[in-house]
Amino acid sequence: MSDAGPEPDVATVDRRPATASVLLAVGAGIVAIGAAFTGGPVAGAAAATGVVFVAAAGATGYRRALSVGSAILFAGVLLASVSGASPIASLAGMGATVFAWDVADHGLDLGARMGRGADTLRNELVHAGGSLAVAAVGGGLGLGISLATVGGQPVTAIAFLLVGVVLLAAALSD
Amino acid sequence: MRPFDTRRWAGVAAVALVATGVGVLAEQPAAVLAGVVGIAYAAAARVGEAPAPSVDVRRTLSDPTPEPDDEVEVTVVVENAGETLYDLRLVDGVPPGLEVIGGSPRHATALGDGDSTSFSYTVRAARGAHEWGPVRAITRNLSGSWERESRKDVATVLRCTPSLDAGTELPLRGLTSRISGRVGTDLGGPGVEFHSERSYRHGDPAKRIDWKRLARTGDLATMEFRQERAASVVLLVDAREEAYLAPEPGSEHAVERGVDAAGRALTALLSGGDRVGVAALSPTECWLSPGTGRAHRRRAMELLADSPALAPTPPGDGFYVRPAYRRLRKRLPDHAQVILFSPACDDGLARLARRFDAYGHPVTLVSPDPTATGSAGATLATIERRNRLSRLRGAGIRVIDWGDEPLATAIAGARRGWRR
Repeated sequence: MSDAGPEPDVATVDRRPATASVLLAVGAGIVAIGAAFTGGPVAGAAAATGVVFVAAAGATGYRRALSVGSAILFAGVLLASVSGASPIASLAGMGATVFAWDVADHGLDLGARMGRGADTLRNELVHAGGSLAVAAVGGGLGLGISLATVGGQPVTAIAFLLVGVVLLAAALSD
Repeated sequence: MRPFDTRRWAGVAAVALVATGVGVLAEQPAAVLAGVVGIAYAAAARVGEAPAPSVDVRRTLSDPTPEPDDEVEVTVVVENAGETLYDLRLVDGVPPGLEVIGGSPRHATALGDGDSTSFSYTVRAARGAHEWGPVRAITRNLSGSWERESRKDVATVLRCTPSLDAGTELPLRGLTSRISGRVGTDLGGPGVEFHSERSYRHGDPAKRIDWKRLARTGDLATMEFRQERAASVVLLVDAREEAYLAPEPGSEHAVERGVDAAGRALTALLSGGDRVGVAALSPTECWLSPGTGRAHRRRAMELLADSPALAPTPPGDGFYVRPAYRRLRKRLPDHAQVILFSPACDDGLARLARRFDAYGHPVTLVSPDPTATGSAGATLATIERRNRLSRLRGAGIRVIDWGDEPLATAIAGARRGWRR
């Protein structure tokens, strides 16, 4: 015997992540794998492992798999960029990594709150478009810095520049 | 509601700094540059706030007054009359008594100024008046770092009144009023079935004189027939929280079945000439005194279909049996009998039934069986209920234990065990 009153449909709503976002995230993950491979097979393998986790999270809605997968993907891309990948590959890999996490996280959130039965395509595409624009601006900025410093300024100078930018951003926000 | 920080981007600046730091330590410019992407995301997360949406929401039903079990399509149109909403999620306030059988009452989209969107879903109509709740609108900024929830009230009501044509005859108990009807009594008088013969009294109608006897013996005698009189009946539906029971989630619960049975009994009893009233055991008031006639019939039907006391979802408030019993006893006409519709899954109800019976209102209990099988607890509940019903039978109350079979079958089965 059980109460039949409150919403019998709660259990039957499909709470898995929204499909378009998951597909975009996996696509971006494949771009990141490609970028990581330019820094060596170990980095590429690590990135691929991360993408497998991200895809698993996208299929099941298991949030921890997304965090772990994104972290591994990030580590793979970082390993590639310290072991000889070109600045362009590094920027593309990092942009694709953060984009993949952003889009997948959005898809998981939509799935958990709206359900897979709901029409969410437009929302997902707009969010992905916004995220892609940020990645493009960030990548373009990095590329500009890399071209401007081709003369051979020391690495620490760039680092100080970036730390300055972070502090500025933090100061402006609060 | 005030906007709040979703903390989505809480770690992205750290990601940027890790990349930069690792790049510095390894003296690799590429890694330092990779940090720029993280900084760009951190900066983007600070852009924009979750907008308070100024949207117009309209909701339309394909049929606002359907029959039970009809499919009704609900269409919600949302128009943005304000700033651009990059992330708008809508959750429609579907009434708890309706089941969504197609589509989804949720929708996520992005709307520019002046844009509109619509989504639709299908619900299965159930008895009662179902009122939609507000549409919940959740907005975020483009990066998803801020979120705000707001509500838009859109009044929509679906009214589903069953057309209760097919009545099911419920056998009544002996207590009757003085009006002629269909309940056989032990009194002699005008009627059909032979009852007794008595000596002639001046004024007896000529057609009831036993002429054969006069011819045989010369005595004048008058034949009497079993009188058939109308009863006064109150259909009492148990709609306490304890009665909202079903064998499994999603299946018809005992209150719904009770109301259905009460509706059929109402039709049959009224067309048989009995006076019928309606009442509910519920925290919400529901009472219609016994009566007859077309208008009364319509009122009773409306009460059964629409009354908030008999809503398809359980009442939130507590309910006390004792004061309700006292109120009902004051209202019940002296010669009224009670037909009680209840799953009888608690002792309070059984006590109430016995008390009515003891104070001269014969009780017939129609009990939709909500018990399930399969687990030890379910079996225990089944046995408890069965014992309770047999104790009630022992106390002289007529019990119709109504399982999955049609009500008429259950009545026929129960009838065999009754004494008059």
